[in-house]
Amino acid sequence: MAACLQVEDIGISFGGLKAVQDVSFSLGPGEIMGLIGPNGAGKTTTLNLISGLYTCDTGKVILDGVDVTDKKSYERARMGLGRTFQTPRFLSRSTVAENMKLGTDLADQIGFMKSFLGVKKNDFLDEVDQYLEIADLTVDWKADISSLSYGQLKRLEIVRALLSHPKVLLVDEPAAGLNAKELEKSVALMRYAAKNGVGIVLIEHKMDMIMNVCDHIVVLNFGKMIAHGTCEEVQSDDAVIEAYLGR
Amino acid sequence: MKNDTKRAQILRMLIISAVVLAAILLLDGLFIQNLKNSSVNLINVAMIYYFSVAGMYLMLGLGGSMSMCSIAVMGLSAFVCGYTNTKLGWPILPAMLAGVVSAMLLCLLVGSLLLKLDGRAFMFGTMALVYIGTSVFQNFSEFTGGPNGTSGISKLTLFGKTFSSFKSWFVLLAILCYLLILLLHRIKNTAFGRSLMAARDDETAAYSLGVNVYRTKLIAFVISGALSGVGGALYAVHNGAISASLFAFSTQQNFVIMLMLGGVMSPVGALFGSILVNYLPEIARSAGSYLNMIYGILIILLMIFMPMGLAGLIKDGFARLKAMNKKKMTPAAKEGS
Ligand SMILES: Nc1ncnc2c1ncn2[C@@H]1O[C@H](COP(=O)(O)OP(=O)(O)OP(=O)(O)O)[C@@H](O)[C@H]1O
Ligand SMILES: [Mg+2]
Repeated sequence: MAACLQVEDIGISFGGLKAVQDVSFSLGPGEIMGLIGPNGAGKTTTLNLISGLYTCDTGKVILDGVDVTDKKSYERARMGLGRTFQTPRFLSRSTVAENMKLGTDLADQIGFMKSFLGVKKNDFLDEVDQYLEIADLTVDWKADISSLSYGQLKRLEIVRALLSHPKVLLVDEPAAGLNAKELEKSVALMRYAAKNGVGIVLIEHKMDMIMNVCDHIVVLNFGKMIAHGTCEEVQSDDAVIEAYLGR
Repeated sequence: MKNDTKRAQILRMLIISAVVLAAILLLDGLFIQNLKNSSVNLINVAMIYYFSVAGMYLMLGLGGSMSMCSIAVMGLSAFVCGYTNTKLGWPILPAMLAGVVSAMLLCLLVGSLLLKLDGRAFMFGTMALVYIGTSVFQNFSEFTGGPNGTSGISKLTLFGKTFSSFKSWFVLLAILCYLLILLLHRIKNTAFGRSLMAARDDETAAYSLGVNVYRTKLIAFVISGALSGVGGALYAVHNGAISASLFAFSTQQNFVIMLMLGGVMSPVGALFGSILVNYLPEIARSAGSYLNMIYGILIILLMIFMPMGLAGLIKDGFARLKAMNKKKMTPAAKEGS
């Protein structure tokens, strides 16, 4: 099975701080990979390197067989790299509909002139309804985005990313601020995406969730990869136990 | 089902358009034709200015970048139109088109230089263009007529009708403004409009959603250039004569007030802002040289009490009415009171 995302020895330093060093892994279509580690371990930074928000000092990022290390983040997004943020990012002065349509816009990739003439490829409403049902969300399309709760935004951000038809989805702490029921819906969304062939990198502190949904897990500590394997392998790994308990 | 909603939308559009057209014709017949020529001139020019203000709305209201060079772009278009018409003998429509194209090219050039910089640098950079513009318009006599300006620009003839007096222009300009509002509304609801808003609100989110922020803003800036260009060409033809002093920074300042007064987020508001600001000197004639002070105080008060302008005020009013209605209707609220 060809990997949809390959990361080879990526690294970045901020001043003297080596935030991420020599991180490598490979993700197949439909797989869910956990990316875990203590606070400040470099998880979000790794995500930023993959999505192109930061430029790698070292290493390569290969998306669906194409080396994207030198590509800008918006180019990577157009090539099928979707992501969410630790703190959800929405257009603060726009409506829910406008915000969510940006996902479909990315899937459509229609030029300026054609979009002006009303050309569309994907049916926003059809698709979004299906995701909202899985996520157990009901929204008022005309409402300001600021009227939604944090838990709603967290799930809507995943829905928005899925609307863009990504090949790889990077999810940063989807469970933060969600109650048990909301969390379940969020997991259902990711499972549904994976079933449809999306490769997912999942950052999360809630261990039961990680162990529940992940096919394999990468563990970071102080920017370095200290373990990579199945849930059982990682759980019984001495270095991992040390990193989590030794703090 | 979906076709139905589309048909309903088109029907609604047609009805609104018919009502607006009727209103324009009524306004023209009952009000405009009885005004003094100088007053009609002020209203017409306000609607011409609105093309530039609409461009600023596109850049600021949707894109989050303050463009301060509309008046210079307008000036370039007006002088190119005047030059090709009076010196090269082009018919008026091609001359106007030449003006619009030159305005777009200028914005393409300036935009590709300045839009990579941050918002403040863009604002100051575009501001500088106005000073360059005024000086060029004054000194390149060959092209602009220098201190005397350009005069004798042909009248516009459309569909066999010649627009000779200010009063004959009103209906045409009002219809153009309406079409412009429709255009802005359309832009806001396209993928392009959304990418512009994404660039305004959160560049990081925009990038992650595949938006090329720089290119999006550049396209918006060229569109705003086209709008200012249309304004400039209309101005040249409407006035028949133009000179450098008409395109000075003070007019750009007025554009800012027009936009702020109307509401940065509202195209319709900006139209009323434009007319109000351009007409104010006529109403407050006795204020004379104190006018600038009044403007200044107006801006400060605006920023404090209604940062979203007239449109925001009206929107808030509606929201409050709605909330009041809701309270009246819910039984729980009744019991509570
Ligand atoms: N832009 C930046 N400039 C400087 N330092 C940074 C930057 N981004 C991240 N860092 C540093 O890199 C380290 C790793 O941060 P990162 O956000 O990747 O951690 P994390 O694993 O996501 O932690 P958390 O679980 O708290 O979200 C931290 O020490 C952080 O301060
Ligand atoms: Mg993090």
